[in-house]
Amino acid sequence: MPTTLPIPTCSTAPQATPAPDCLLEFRNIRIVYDNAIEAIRDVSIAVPEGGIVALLGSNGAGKSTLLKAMSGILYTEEGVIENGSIRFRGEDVHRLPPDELVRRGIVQVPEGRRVFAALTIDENLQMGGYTKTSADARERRDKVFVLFPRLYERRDQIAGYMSGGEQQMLAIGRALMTDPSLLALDEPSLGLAPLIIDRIYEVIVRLRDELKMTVLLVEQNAQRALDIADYGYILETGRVVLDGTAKKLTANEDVQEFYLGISSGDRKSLREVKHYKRRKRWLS
Amino acid sequence: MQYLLQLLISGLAIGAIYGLIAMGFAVIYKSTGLVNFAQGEMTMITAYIAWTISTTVSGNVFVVAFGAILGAILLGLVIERVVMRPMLGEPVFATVMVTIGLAVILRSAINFIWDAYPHGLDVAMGREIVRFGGMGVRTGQMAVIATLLVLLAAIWAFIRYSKMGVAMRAVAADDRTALLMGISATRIHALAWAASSVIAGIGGVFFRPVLRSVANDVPTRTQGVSGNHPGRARRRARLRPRRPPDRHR
Repeated sequence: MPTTLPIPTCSTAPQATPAPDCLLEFRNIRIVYDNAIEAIRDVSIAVPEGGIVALLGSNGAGKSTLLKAMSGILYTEEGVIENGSIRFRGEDVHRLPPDELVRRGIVQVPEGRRVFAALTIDENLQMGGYTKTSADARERRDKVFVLFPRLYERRDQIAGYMSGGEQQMLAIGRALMTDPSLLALDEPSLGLAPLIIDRIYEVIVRLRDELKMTVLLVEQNAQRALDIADYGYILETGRVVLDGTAKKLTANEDVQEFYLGISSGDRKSLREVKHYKRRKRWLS
Repeated sequence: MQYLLQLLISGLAIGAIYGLIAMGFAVIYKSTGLVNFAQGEMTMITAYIAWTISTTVSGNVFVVAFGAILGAILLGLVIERVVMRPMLGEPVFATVMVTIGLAVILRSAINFIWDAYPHGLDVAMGREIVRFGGMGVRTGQMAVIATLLVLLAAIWAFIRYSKMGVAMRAVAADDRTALLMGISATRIHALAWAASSVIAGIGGVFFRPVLRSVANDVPTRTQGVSGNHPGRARRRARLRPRRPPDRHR
C-alpha cells in the first residue's frame, strides 16, 4: 500500500530491506534490446547510501545492462526501459540524458576500463571533470593524485601505454573527477593480476570508508566482491535470483557451489552437476 | 627566375585554399572519426551563399564574410542535426556512405537553388597588386595564405589545449565513454560540423579571387599553347563552341 511505504524507500527489494535511506533504486525494471531481446525482467535493486552493493552473476545475466540504464546510455545500443523506474535520491532519473546524470552524481567506470588511449593521463582526468568548472576540476584532480600517486608520476604520459592495472586506476580516477555520490564499477578486476586486484579493491574500500562514497560493484568474481561488499544481489538471465547481506550470501550453499567454487562433500561428475543445475533453478 | 617565383606564390595561394578545405576534413575527422565526403559540396554551398549576398545584398567584403560565415555555421549545424545525428552509434562505414549520399544531395541542391554555371564572386577587395622585387602579388593571394596560417595555428592550439578540443578527441576515440563522463557527444559533433563548414567555406570564398588572379597574371598552359600553335587553337575552337564571356572563368 502506498500509505505504508514511505518514499524514498528500499522496500521494493524482493527480500530483506538493506537500509532505510537508499541512494539509488531500480524499481521493477524491464529492459528490452532492439524491441526483441529481453535483457532485464522485473528487477528491483536498492543501493543504500554509504555502502558497497555487489551485483553478481555470470556472463549475459544483465549486470552491465543495468549499469547502462543507470547512466542513460542504453539508447546507444537500441535498448529501452519498457517498465519500471530508476530512482536516485527519491527522484525518477531514467529519462535524463547522460550528462545530467553525471551532474547529479551518478558515474560509472565502464567494463574494460575504456580510458581514452590517445590522450595523456592529465587529459583523461580533465575529461572526467568535464562537467566541473576548471577550478573545481583542478581541486578534484589533486585529490585523485593523492589517492593514486602513480597517476601523478605519469600524468603527461599517453594513457594507452600504461599497464592494465594503471589504466584501471586511471578509469576510477577519471570517474572520481565527476565528484560522484554513487560510483558504479563494471568488473574492475577484469583481466588483472591478483596482486593488482587487491590494490584496486583496497581503493574501493577506502572510497567507502574515508570518502563516504556509495559503491555499486558489478563483478563476475563473486568471492572478491562479497569480501568487501555489505550487500549483494545475484542476477541470472535478467532476474534477481537471490539477495542478502554479503555474509549471508557467502554462507549460502548454492552461492558457494555456483559462484564461489566451493564444493560441498563428494566430488560430482560434470553430468550430475549439470543436471543439478537444471533442476535447482534459482528462486524455485 | 622571377616567373618561377611568381608561379610559386600563385601555387601557394591555391595550395592554401586546398589546405583550408583539408582542414575542414581534419576537424570532422578529429572529433567524429569520420571522413566527410560532402566537404567539397559544403565548400561550394558557402561560396554560393557568399556570391548571392554579394550580388543581392551588398558587395561590402565584411557583409559578405559575415553572411557567408553565418550561412556556413547554419549549414554545418543543420547537416549534423538532420543527417549525422541519427547515425550516431552506427558503423563507421555506414556513416561514411551517408556522407557520400549527402554530397550528391548537396550538389543537386545547388543546381536546384542556383544553377550549374560558374559565377564570379566580386568583392571590392583582394584585387590590388602589391609589387615587390619586380613581382606582383594580389592582396587576395596574400590574404588566403595568411588566413590558412592563422586558422592552422588557432585550430591546432584549440584541439591541443582547450577543454573542448580535448573533448573532441575523446569523443572521436570513444563516444560512449565520453557520454559516461558527462560530455555531450552531440554538442561536440555539432561544434565540429559548424567549425568544419566555416573553415571549408572560407576556402570556397577565396576560390574566386585567387584563381582569377592566376588566370590574369600568369599565362596558363592552354593560353600559352594556343598562342604558339594557332592550328591547334583552331581545332579546339571547331570542336568546342565558344562559351559566352560571362560564363568564362
